[in-house]
Amino acid sequence: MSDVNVVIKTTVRTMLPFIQLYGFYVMTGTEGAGGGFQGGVILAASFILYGITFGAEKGRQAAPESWNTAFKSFGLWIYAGVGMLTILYSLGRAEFLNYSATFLSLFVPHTVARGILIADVIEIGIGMTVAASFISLFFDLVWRSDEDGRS
Amino acid sequence: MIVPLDIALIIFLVVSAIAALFVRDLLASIAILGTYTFVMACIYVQMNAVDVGFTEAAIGAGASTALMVASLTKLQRYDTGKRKKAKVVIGAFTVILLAGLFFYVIEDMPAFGDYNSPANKRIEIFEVRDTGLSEKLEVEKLPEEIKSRIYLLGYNERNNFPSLREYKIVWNEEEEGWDVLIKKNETFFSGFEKLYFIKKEGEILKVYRYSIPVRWQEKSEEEMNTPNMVTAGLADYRGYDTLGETVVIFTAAVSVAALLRRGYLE
Repeated sequence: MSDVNVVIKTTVRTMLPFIQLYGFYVMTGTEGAGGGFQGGVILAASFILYGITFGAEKGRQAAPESWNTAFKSFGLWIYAGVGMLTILYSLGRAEFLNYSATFLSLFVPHTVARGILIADVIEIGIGMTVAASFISLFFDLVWRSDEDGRS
Repeated sequence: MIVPLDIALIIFLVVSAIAALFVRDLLASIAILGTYTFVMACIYVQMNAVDVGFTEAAIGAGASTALMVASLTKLQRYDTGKRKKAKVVIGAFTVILLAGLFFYVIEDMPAFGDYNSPANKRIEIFEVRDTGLSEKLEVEKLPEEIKSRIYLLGYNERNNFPSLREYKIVWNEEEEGWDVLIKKNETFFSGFEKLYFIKKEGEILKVYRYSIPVRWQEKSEEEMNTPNMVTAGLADYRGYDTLGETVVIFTAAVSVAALLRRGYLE
């Protein structure tokens, strides 16, 4: 195998874990800049880089479409689910997305619970949806279907 | 802000925007658009909007460039269409008109980063002549004239504004005026929130209304225990908006899948 791209492939393989770690760091932190959207896009960029380097088939194996579909619904479900949780806990006082009103407020002061929910639950939900959406968008666009229309 | 750097960045921005329009090779055009969004990100960071610059760099220069290159695999690489002269003239005329309108409007904008602009601080709603009103304010009573005037302007319970039934008046040392604090109708943050501001200027009392970012700036860290104001605001004060944005991204991915994946999961 006369591989002229060995430099690119080795570089990408070495860089990927660091890019993904950075994506998670951006996603969950509250002290620095960034949030769910940016972290999710960085996470998706790592898979897109993998797909560009190793080909779309291998990329789709690394990020299977069933997982993408599951994750992009699950992230949205987390976000809206916290909203439902607040309604349930506040016993119908219509505190939708008022993060003080969850069971977490039983254990810690409600302002701290608010911070935890924003930083570690909501943002991860957003990041999941964004990352899975961008990965599936990219692979849908580069995928070549064969003659009888099957992808 | 460094002015020469700003000017250089804006010149680069304009040049790359024009170049992206006139290049016939679509791949080169996409690459130029990538540099355009990157320069835009630099400008945002120059303006101290780190979060916006970060988003622009990640989504504009990273993801959307990759998506455009990906869609180019299904298109022709070179633009072979002919440009009609009439269309170009109409387009140029519209752009110049729009730019003229922008320059006309720019005069009324507050100075860049102005802390005291109405959008960031407070907006003047009316002024009354001081006929013994300030003595009432000194003993922490809101005069009936100001109260009824605020009610008549529409800031009342019927329009879902907090009522003036329970209030406190506090002398604001820094601004040299009176803050009118109003009882909040919130379950977890009950208490008083400053809403109106009254300042005496000679014989005239000016009544202001505080803008929403004031609470965001002063209380967000204490209320949410998160140091980054932008994240806190986006996920909490504007939680509905962010939920909607997430739904938009989800919907976009689902619709592209529905359009492009014909018979994929048979």
